[in-house]
Amino acid sequence: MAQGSDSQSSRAGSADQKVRSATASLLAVVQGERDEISATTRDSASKGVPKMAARDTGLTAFPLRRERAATGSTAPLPASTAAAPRAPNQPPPKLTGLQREVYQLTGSTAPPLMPEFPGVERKRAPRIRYRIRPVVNAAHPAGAALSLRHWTRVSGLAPDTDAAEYPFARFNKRLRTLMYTEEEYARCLARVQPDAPSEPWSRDETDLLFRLCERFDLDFVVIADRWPDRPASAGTAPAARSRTVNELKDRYYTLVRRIMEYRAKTGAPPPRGPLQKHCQAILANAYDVEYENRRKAQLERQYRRSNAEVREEEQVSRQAQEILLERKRRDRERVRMERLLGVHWGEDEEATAPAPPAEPLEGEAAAPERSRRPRPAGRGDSVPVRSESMRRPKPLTPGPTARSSLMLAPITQSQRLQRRVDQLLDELGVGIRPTPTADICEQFDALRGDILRLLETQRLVRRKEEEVRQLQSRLEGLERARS
Amino acid sequence: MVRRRKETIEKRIVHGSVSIWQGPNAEPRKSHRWTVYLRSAGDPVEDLSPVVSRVEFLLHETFESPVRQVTEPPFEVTEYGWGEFEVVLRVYFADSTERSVDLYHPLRLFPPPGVEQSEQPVVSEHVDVLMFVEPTEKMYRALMEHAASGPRAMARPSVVAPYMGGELREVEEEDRRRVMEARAQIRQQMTELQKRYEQAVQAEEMLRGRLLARSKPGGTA
Repeated sequence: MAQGSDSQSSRAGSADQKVRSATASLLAVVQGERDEISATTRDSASKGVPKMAARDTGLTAFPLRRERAATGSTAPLPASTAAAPRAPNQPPPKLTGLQREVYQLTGSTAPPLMPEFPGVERKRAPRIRYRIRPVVNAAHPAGAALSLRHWTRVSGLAPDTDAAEYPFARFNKRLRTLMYTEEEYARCLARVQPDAPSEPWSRDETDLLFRLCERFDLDFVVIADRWPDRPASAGTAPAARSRTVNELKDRYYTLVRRIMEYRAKTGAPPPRGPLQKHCQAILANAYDVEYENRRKAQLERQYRRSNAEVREEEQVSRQAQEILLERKRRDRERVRMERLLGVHWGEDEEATAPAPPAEPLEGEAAAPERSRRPRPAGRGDSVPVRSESMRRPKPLTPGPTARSSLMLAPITQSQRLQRRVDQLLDELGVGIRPTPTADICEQFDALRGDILRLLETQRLVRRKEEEVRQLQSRLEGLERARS
Repeated sequence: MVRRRKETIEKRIVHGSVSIWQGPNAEPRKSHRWTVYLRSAGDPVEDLSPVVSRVEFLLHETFESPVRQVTEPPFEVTEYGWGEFEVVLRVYFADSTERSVDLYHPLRLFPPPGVEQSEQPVVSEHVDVLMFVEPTEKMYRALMEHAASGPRAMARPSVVAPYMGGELREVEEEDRRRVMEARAQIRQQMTELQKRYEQAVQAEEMLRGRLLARSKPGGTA
């Protein structure tokens, strides 16, 4: 019995335990739920984002809650493993299975559903304020008498109501020109007059010119524009005659020059500052009115050409260029030919200065790039001059050498050419290795050089003949077209 | 190593081959018996051994042990074969500090075209000149002694000694004549080419003049 009661009591105890554990788990669940809710509200409150985003651990939390539902209340989970956010220093939760995998992949920093931005601190730019205020333009001839108003920036510290200085007035630089005195004009300028075609200058005209120069900053085009063409009133002497820009320039520059010369003679102090520079420039650069007139006339003519004239001119210059190129090419070819043949057809000076043909021919490409030396004698004759030794003997390296190896060494870089040379040697009955005594070796080398030259000459001659054939057919075509 | 400055000693030598056809019944891979050799260019053939220490014959790779060393005169190699190839004779000299010299001998087995194959031996010899440029003292002494001692007959004559062509002076003369003739021929061809070129230039000028005259008055028409 005791046993039975024992077992019963134990059974009852276990049932009691069950009940107790069930309530505990329920409590735990409730507690967890509450924790979660409080966490979300705290989160959303602190970060200022909607609730959805606050569930940053949602991925881990979701399967957890599902599991809880499946196991029911019998397997309570510790509240700490629920979705409640951990404190920053808390160790990571102990997870198993899929949850652990997911946790390892995402960590506690799973991507939020909504973007979060830390609050941007915006700096406020200080306000700039403008106000309409009176402005004095020092550059204007009227000066303070002219009342102008302008939007001006207000510094904000002291709102001044005085008229502001116009800031761009400092850029108003006036050109100062040289002016003659009465005495100077009478002494040296009165007799200065331009050459025949342009009319003489009167004192009034000269004064006017200098005034205009001062006023318009030597802008002679403007001066010429303002120049009074005709006399103001008929019957009286003309106040000013019609003048071209060049005439105005000539008059001004000539007079300044004369004034400077006169002052230098009389020992008057020379001008200082920018004016000195201006005068010195005029002294250093003589103004040639004749040349300027011609230049302008030329430009004018060029500008007035018709389209057809322009085209024709271009065509002519192109043709001329082509002809020059062609001639140059032919000259080069002739020089090359002369060098190969060792003759000289004396024609023009600059193209015909062939080097003596004693140098070796290193393939085709090497031929045109040769130093040109004038030949002392034999100009204009066509007596063949040939050199016997083709190659300067290279000093042999010490030690035994078979002379046949010198013969077997290739004579040109080009393999194709070398083959042709060997082939020709065979055809000539020499072969590529005759007995290599000293004199035969030398002759053999010369022969190989001769053959190279021959091959090159053949090539050039064939090309020339082909050219002639083309010209012939062109001419025939023209004749046929005409008939 | 002391060298004798500005001194060059020349020595004429001959590399050659003698080939004897083994008749129609011979084994096809051994249709010829040939001997390739290096000898002096004297007549009678003198012993080269004071100057030449040994000769390496580089045969075609298909031969068994294609590099044959011959350290004793006569410097020669006898083989059976069926094809022609170029034998390289690598000559080493009395002073081993001197570099070796390669001679290229085109082995000839068959008579020149037009001549019937017969048991008559086919001899092909080439004269070459060894130039000892600034020889070493040892080499110089060896050469001098060799020259001073006069022609010294071979202790053991070559197996093909009867076919050798002696000094081959007439071959040399022939070669010289041919080279000179060839040069004359080339010169002549050049003259012809020059004439052709001059004619072409004349024709060109004439044609250009006519073309210009034709295209001028009417412009493009």
